[in-house]
Amino acid sequence: MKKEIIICIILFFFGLGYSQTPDSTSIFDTKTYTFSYFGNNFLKPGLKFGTNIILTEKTIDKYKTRQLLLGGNIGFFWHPKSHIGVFNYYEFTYRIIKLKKYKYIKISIGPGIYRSFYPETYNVDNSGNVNKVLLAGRIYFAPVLTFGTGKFIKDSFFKSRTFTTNLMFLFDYNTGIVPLLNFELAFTF
Amino acid sequence: MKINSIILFFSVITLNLFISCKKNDLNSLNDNFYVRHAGADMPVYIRGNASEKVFLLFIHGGPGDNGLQYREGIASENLEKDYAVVYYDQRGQGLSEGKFEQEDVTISLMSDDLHAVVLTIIKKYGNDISIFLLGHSWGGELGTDYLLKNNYPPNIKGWIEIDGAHDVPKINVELAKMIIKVGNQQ
Repeated sequence: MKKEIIICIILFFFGLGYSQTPDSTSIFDTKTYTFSYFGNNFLKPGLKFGTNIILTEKTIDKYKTRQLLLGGNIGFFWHPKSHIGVFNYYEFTYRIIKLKKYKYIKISIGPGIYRSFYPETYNVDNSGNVNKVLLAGRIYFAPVLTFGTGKFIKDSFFKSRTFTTNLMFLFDYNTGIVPLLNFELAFTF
Repeated sequence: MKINSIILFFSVITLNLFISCKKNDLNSLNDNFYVRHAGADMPVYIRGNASEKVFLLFIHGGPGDNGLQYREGIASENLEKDYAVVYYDQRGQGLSEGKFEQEDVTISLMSDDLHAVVLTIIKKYGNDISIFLLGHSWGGELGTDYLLKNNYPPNIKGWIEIDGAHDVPKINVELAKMIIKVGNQQ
């Protein structure tokens, strides 16, 4: 687990480094922030805050532009009957923008970590002693794969809105891997 | 899109996050907690009326089912009027979490998990409670193993079994015979 955390921290500082060299030729903001509704299976509500920077941008023709972005995200969701999931992940995003309609599609991949927080938890040892556990939960390596579509908004505080399907894979969950299907409605500013 | 409507949207969602906590009283319990045992964290949900200190502990089937799926329907609704009904997700099933090796998952270990759940309920609700076990299918096998292994613990006052499975290889053989028999009839 230490290895995964170190990778995440390195990526974070890598992102910070890039954020100091914005591409002034882009017609889009080189650094943006996103605030999202983040629903685990859509129904378990959560929130997510993130930031994205454009690493490279290439105009394909007068109708299309493609970009490579680096992003960092932190958020949580809440399962009313059991636990709260808190996550932090970093992503490389490939985005194609249709300039005429100001719409885009994107695909992202990146590493992350996930921590579950249980409500009241009791530990039962082999002797049968029952003791309360504080801040019980589990930590997982949680890489993320996302697909999204969105639209830029003209003349507004919010620069764009995006609907994203997010697959988060929790590693070493029980005896294997468990995928979490999440949906995200994001606004960029 | 107007900023106000977006702010309202997020406000409603955030508010939704904080409206849930119900105060527990014994007549209408809504208690959620986890039991950690031997590398597994198993969620336990207690619903219903605990005023008489009678607890009905569901041992779900499968393996692969989950506790709360037995809460669907009128049977649980009626049971919860008179008793505290305990639903829990067994190791590696439902919403239970943990880290353990597949080879380590045995009936004996899962029986110990059930014992851990029983001990935790006693710790929370007192030593004077009465617990009745109710096992369905695979839960029938697990419950039987638990009773035999622990020599009928004093707080367990009764054992209800629904379609319990006790000899899985024999079930598979009989199932094959039944399919042929039904097929011939059709």
